Amino acid sequence: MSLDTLYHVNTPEGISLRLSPAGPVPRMLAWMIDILIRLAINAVMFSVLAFMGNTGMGIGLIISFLLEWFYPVYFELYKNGQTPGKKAFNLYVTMENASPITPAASVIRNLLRFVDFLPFFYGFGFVSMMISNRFQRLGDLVASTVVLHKALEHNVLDEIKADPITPPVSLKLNEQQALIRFYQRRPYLTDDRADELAKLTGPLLDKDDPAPASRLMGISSWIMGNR
Amino acid sequence: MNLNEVQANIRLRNPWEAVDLGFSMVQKWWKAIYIPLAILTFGIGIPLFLIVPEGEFWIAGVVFWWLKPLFDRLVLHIISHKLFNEELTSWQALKALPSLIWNTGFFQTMTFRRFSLSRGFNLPLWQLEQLRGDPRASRQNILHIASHSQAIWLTIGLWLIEVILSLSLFVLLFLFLPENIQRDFFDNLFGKSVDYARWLDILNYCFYVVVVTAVHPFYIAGNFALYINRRTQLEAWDIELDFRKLASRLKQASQPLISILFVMFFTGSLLLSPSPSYAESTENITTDIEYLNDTRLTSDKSDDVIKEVMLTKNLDDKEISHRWIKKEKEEKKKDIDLDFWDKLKALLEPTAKVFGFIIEFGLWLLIAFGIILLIYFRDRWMYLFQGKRKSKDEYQSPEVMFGMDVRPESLPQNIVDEARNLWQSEQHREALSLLYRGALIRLINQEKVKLQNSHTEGDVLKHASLKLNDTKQGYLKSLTAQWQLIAYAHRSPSESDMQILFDRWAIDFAFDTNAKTTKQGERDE
Repeated sequence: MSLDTLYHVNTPEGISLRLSPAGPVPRMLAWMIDILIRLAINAVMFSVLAFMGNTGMGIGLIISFLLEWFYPVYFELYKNGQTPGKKAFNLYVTMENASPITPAASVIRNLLRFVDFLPFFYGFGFVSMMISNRFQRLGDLVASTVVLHKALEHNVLDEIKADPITPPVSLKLNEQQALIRFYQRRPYLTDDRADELAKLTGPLLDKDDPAPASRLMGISSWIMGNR
Repeated sequence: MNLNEVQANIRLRNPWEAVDLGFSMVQKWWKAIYIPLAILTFGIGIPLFLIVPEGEFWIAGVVFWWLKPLFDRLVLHIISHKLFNEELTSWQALKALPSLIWNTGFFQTMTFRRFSLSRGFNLPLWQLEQLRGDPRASRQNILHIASHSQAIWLTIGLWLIEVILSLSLFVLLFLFLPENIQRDFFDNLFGKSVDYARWLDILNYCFYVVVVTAVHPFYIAGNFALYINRRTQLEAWDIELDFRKLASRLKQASQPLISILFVMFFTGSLLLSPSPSYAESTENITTDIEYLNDTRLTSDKSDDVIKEVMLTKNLDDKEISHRWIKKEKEEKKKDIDLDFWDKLKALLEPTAKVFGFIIEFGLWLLIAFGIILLIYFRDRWMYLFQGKRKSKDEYQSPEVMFGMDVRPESLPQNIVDEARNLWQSEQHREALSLLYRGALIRLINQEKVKLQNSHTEGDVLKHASLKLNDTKQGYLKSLTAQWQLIAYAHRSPSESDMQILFDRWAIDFAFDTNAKTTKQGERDE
């Protein structure tokens, strides 16, 4: 069993979703962006409401309270689980089974910030995140939510044109995927390293192929669908 | 370094995911990491505490902080061995310390590199790749292209976590004190015999040592994983692993009886001793990422589960919407008795066609007849369009006002002279009437005031004021006043008033406004 941060959720169709929980450091940095945004909003709001005297202060305090507690709830429910800070770090909040976060769960996990915040600036929250398998703070554990890394979409790189070569043997799915990855990442590899990698495929290429990388690129190109 | 032995799933991650992988390493190998590390940190922390003079524990804190690179090396030594599946006892790890100090650029890190924010990320170059000088610098530059900012933020982030956790321990201690002694806890316990500040100092130091011991492995492991991820990116380790599996499967397929041996040495090899030859059999190739679940349900069962899941609120995407749709009546009729209608249709079709033709022809005739009628009687209706336009656009000037003929033809050549004559022959009423009539005619024809025979003198004045300038309007006013006086009150105006009216006629009233203004304009220039 090789180590990974991933955990799997099995759908009834037999597909296993790979979910990647996010650890304390990116979450802390995302939180810092959010608190800066809230501070900025508060600063603007109070300086405007200051003209209204005590009434303004009262309104300001109420809005500030709502902002502090329901800012994350709003973004989690209506912006795909992403506060602006989380969006900046490609994180999002979901239920543990990767379904969209429910209103109840969102409220619970954000009200329990109070507990995570103890004893000093998320002290318990950090300990909980460092200990738990899925980097959950206490609020996450209670609401059974989790903060995940959003899988980034990779563009298909098709810079290098290689004449397609039919592979000499039939390849399994994961082997085909490896060849496609080789094809896509070829522009980022040095020529030497590409040759070295290509030779590792052994029987797939001739032993004394003068340019193993380009031949493998041909095979990969065929697998990519170029015929 | 044997990549086949790697204990973590090697795949391309985004940098923060890689940092999290490092955190997972600490969680998984915590025993192997924390025991030797705690021995080292407390082994240094306690003597420091004893050496430093009382009240100066901040010095111990600073020294302990300064020695962090030493802890770096131990943790990295342990984690790197663990990652490539080499068991390491605590004693072995600690025994490696002297060589770690001598062979890893320790003294540079302790001096001018101590404040580097990417210390942890650069460490594998010194310790695992054993690079020095220019090659190290250029390699470091390459590695920094993609993960440097994450390395820096990781340092800052974990430093903040250290601070937060130390302060948390303080607050926690305070929280757990019984309420009645909480307020003057330090006073009662230590206040009289011991200095308050000293105890704060001691607790501060102890908490710091504990927190650094707890947090430091996360820092090094996070950086190490970041480094591994960067090399995976540069050297395609994930692809290498998959290609090796591919090769071994193909070889196995062609030579099933011979087990294949292969050894992998890495250029710029990470670990000092290459591992022994490693025989790999097909059973070992199980590290594929499983996209499919092993325990797949039967289709009936999975159907049930899907139905159940789809009932949850989130996925129940039903909604009711209302809109108007045209009823399709014809189709319904057809549905009633298709055969009957077909028969009827077949029966009636020829007759219907003849009738249809006749009716159509008749209709065309009717239209043609209608058009002929319209043309023949065009005079009856064409005026409707013209008439309307006329009545709208054209203004018919009245011929009679106040019982006076106001056609221009009815006027004598010289109104003023004629009126003077009438006045002198005591025909006052006629004189004024002539003058007023002349004014009206002038208003209608020259000034284009739209007067109608229903207007009173007041209306005339009102309408005239829109077109006339002040002088003309003034004259008209006084003329009207005199006229009204004689016409309705039967009182003759005075001689002098009449003389003014006669004299000012041409000067104030009966002239062409445009001509005069242009003249004035010329004079002004």
